[in-house]
This record gives sequence, C-alpha cells and structure tokens, in this order.
Amino acid sequence: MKFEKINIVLTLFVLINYSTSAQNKKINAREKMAFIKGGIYTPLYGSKEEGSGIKVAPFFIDKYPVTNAQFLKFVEENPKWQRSKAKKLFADKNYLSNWKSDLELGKNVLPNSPVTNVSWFAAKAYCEYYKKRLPSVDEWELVAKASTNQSDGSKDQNYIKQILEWYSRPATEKISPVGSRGKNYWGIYDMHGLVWEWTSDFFSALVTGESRGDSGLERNLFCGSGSVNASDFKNYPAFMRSAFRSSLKANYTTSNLGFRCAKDFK
Amino acid sequence: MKKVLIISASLSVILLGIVIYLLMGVKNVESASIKEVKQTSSEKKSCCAEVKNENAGDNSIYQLESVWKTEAGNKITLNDLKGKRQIMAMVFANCTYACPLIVNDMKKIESAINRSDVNFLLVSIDPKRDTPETLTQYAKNNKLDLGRWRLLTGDENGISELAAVLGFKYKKEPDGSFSHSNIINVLDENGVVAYQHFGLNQDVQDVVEAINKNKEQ
Repeated sequence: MKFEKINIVLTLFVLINYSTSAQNKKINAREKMAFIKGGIYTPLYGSKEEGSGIKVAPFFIDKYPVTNAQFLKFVEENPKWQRSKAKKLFADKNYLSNWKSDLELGKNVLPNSPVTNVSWFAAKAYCEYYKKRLPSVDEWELVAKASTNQSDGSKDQNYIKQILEWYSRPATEKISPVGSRGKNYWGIYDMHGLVWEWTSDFFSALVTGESRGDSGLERNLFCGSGSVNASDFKNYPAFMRSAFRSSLKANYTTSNLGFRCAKDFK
Repeated sequence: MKKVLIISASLSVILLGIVIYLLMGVKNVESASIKEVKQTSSEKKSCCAEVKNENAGDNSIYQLESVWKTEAGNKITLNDLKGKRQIMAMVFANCTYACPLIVNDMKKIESAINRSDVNFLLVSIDPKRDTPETLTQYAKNNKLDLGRWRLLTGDENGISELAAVLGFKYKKEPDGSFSHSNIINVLDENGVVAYQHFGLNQDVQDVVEAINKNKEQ
C-alpha cells in the first residue's frame, strides 16, 4: 500500500517534471525562432512578367544556423543519422567528416559553430525531428535580402558589396560561432558571412553550371524554360547562390554548407 | 601419418599456385579496367551520364519510404517495384510540351527493346491535379499498355525526395505549370539508378544499350 502511494507520487513527480521540461523545450524553440511577416520576393529567375514577385506567406525561422552541439544531440537521439550509419543515398562519404567520431566533435570543431558537412536529407530529418522544416528558397532569400536596418537591402550596393566580399574570401578551416556575423532587420543572425545554407527546394534552381546538357536555357532540356530570365542583373550574390544551389545534390556534404530550420505560421 | 603429410604438402602447393594465379589475374584485370575507363570517358556522349554502381543496397532509391498511389488507386511504396527493371520519368499530365515528348521517347524505347522483363514508370510532380483518375485517362490518351506501364501520384514531400535523389530539377510556376528537367532514368532490379538520359527528342539507342548491358550483368 505504502509502496503504491510512493509509486504514484513518484510517477506524478516525473510526469510534472516531464511536462514542464517539454514546455520549456517548446518555449526555447519558439524563442530561438523569429517571426517573419512575409512579403513579396522577386526570384532571380523564372518570374513570368516583369516586376511581378512571389508572395511569401508568414513563417517562423531559426535566428541562428543549427550548431554542432545541437546536431550532436540529434544524432544521439537518432542513431541512423550517425556518421557510420547514414546510408550513401542520403549522405555522401564526407558526412560529418570533420567530427572526431560518431558522437565526438573533437578538438577542431566548436560546439557553438554551425554544423557543416551535412546533406539535404540529414538537414531535413533534423528539422522534421523538431517539428520544423527547411525554409524554401523564396523564404530564405526574403530573409536574406534584409540588411541591418532595411527589410530590403538588395538595392543597397554597399550591402551587396559586403556579401560579395565574403564570397570572395577563401573558407577558413575553423568556422566562427553562430551569432558572430550580426543580425539583420528581422533579428536573424548570420544569413551571410558564416556558412551557405540548405533550402527545402534547392532543386528548383534550374540553371546548372554543368556543360553536360542539363545546362543552358534550351527548351529541349527544361520544360517552361522559355520564360526563364534573370530579374536583377546587379545582384551578383543572388546569381552565386543560385549557381551554388543548382550544383548541389541531395546527398552532397561540404565543409561550408549548413542549415537552419523554419516553421509554418498557423 | 605419411599420407597426411603428403596430402597437406600437396594442398599447400595447390594453394600457393592459386594465390600466385589470383595475384597475376588481379593485375591483368586492373590494367584492363583502367583501359576501359579511359575508353568510356573519351567516348562518353555529352548528353548522358553513366552512373556508378557501388554498394547496390546503399544507393537504391527504393530506400525512400514515401507512399504513392497508382493509376488504379492502389497504395504502394517504391520498394514494391523491386524485381523488374524500370524505365522511369517524372512528368505531369497537364504538361503540353516536354512530357508528351518524353513519353514518346519512352514508347520508342519500349518498341526497341521488345522484351517483357522491363517495366515503365511515370511519376507525377503535380499531386494536386494528377489523381489516379487523371492518370488513367492520361494512360488511355497516350495508349500506354497498363500491363507494363505504371503511373504514380504522391505528396509533395515524397516527390521532392525522389527528385532530389535523381537530380531532377523542378519548379512550380505561378500559372500552375512546372519548369522541370527532362530525364529518362533506367533503374535496375533493386532500384539503383543505372543510367540517365538527359534531354528530349534525341536518339534513345543509349538507353536501349544501357538496358541490355544491365541485363547481361
């Protein structure tokens, strides 16, 4: 009888504890995301009429790129995404290759730096595990065009120049911690200057750099590509991002490609 | 006792012989394969990519767990396609230019190979409009033999994952149509991409050869 009581009390205690920690987790997750009220974004390619843009619905997005420490927790809880266990179809041989082992970051990898060497599938699985998703190209670009004090910095040549300077610097071996590249108009950190980031529909970048035949704007190769025209010829960083995305495959991993998650606003 | 000695001695001699033979064989094979690689790379057509076939299971696209509906309305996973080679393309029924040409190219392949152990698969990228009924109608309009053709419709997540593993690019346009790459894929019995043919209205002989080569192996 006594034991039962103790048991019930214990169970209650555990339950309460569990629910508060779950709630904390939720709140934490919310706090680490920022609300983007949406807006009009003009994609670099593919808009059919001049001046028309794509309406991006309101959404949440992570303030920071996902860190090594966060990703480590994810692979601890999802063993199939550990380095030695991930299938080749979903992550190439360089997946998490900068870590010391399956569950150790090692000396050269800062816990608070963005995780890199992750594939699209791995990034997608991470976001889904936390009931989130990857941002679309349109969402990512909408957030990325904001400078420090304007929601649209794409006409600000100084701002574009800053981004280009980052693109032209060689990648350093050690990636700085998240937050080190400052926040933009929306309160989002590190959209430029730290790592490249995966998007949910990276495969929608239709122009590839390959000479093999999937490139060019021939109607033969892309249905509908007759309408493909660049909308902003001065926005070199956008061209570079588009070219980079179109060179990616879903199991690719590179040492300067990470991600952050987004969430629908309901 | 003597017998045992003799047997073991002769056995070890035979073993040694086998080892030497193997070592020489490997060397020959190596130099042969290097030659082959050199040849194929210089002969490689600009339009197509031969896909390397390492660890079959690990590269099978049938590892994708998405659920699809056939034109008959049956629920299947990609793994249910295991066992037969598939000639496969991603299309949408409302497509007016490229997709009819792709289907036409696939029908050319169908008549060129003239064999029953290869199936044909069309996967829709337009889940909103391409219901099983639409796909059945599409098959009728294009005179597809549903004994060997199958048409699938799924959800956006499944489609994006499949597109991602195939390197198939697509984008929904504001008018509801899609821009997309034109690829005919040859999948082996285990769902590993054995060959990809890019573009439209080209000679499909390369695909036919890829299928036959795949069969010989």
